[in-house]
Amino acid sequence: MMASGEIRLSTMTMRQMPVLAQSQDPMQSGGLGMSQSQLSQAETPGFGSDPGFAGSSPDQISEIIVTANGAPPAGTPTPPENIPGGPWQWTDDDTNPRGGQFYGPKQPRGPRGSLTWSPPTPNQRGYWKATPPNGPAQRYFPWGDPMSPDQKQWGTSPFDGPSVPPFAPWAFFLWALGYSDPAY
Amino acid sequence: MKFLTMHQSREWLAAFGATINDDRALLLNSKQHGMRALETHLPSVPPMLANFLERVVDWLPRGKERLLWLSDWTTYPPHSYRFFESVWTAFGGSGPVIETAGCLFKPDHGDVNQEFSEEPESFTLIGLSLLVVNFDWRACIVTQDGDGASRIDFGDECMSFSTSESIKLEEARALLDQFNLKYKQIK
Repeated sequence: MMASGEIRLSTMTMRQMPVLAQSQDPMQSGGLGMSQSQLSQAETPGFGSDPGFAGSSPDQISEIIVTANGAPPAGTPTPPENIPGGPWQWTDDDTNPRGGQFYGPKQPRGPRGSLTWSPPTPNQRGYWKATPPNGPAQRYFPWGDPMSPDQKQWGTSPFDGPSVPPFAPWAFFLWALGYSDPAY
Repeated sequence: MKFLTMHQSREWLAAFGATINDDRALLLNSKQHGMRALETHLPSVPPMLANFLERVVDWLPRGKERLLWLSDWTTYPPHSYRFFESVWTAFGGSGPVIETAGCLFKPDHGDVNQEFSEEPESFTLIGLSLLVVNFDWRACIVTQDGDGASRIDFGDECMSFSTSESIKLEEARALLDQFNLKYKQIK
């Protein structure tokens, strides 16, 4: 049985994908792209003890159980609490280029929400992107405020844009010319 | 098509001073190459998106190898990742995408004003780009172009053209105008 917090990822097998079966050796490739850690995870007693998967052969549907675990790699911030859809829980996944992903709570049916951190680049600030189970993705500033797609780029934040023009000495001069002492 | 590990991709990119950083982002020194870029939101209507991406790939310089580099993707919900990995593997990628996230495509030697490419690998590149865009992943296609480079970036519902060649920038403008897409110059 699935424990609370577990996320189950399904994968198909070679017989279900004859094209792939002809094109590669599943043992050499890690089995349809499964990483070594996933393979070893699939061989653990915990996996085999699940009644749904006990005794499954390589030709049957296999499932990979990823238990909410681990910690984000260095450089990945903690999601702010004000991003809707949480609480967000990190799960390691070595097929993910970020080393894993944040997941929202389990839903009554279907997938969970997920949250990813996009690191800053020379063109874009770092930002959060939340993908709810049903609906469009929403982006958030690192501190959790909603962000429009255009605000991904540096210089378009309400906090770092050129909102205050630089002080001009001539402006002070004009003010000083028109200044008169108060009449009190 | 030739699938490349990160190390092999870095070696190929080093020929024109590009790198891949620890976040898997492909970096080109745009000042060194005198690159300018146009960014637009991708079309959301399916036929228009497919036609647009065919033109986008056709925009790349002729006679140059094209590197598709996947810089970010999601693995949940699993169906998109599993399907993409199946396609990637079927075309010859060995192992998980994370180990061979680069793919080198043969040059297109067609006429500049061709109706469609006759290079079969261009079809694959267009199709893979369509998957990347539909799954809302990040990728770029880069080619060496003279002393500079031309690149296309996909990510988070947007795409950009970057190039060191003025004529290519004007071609990108014309392409975006043809599809009635608003754009902005970001460099």
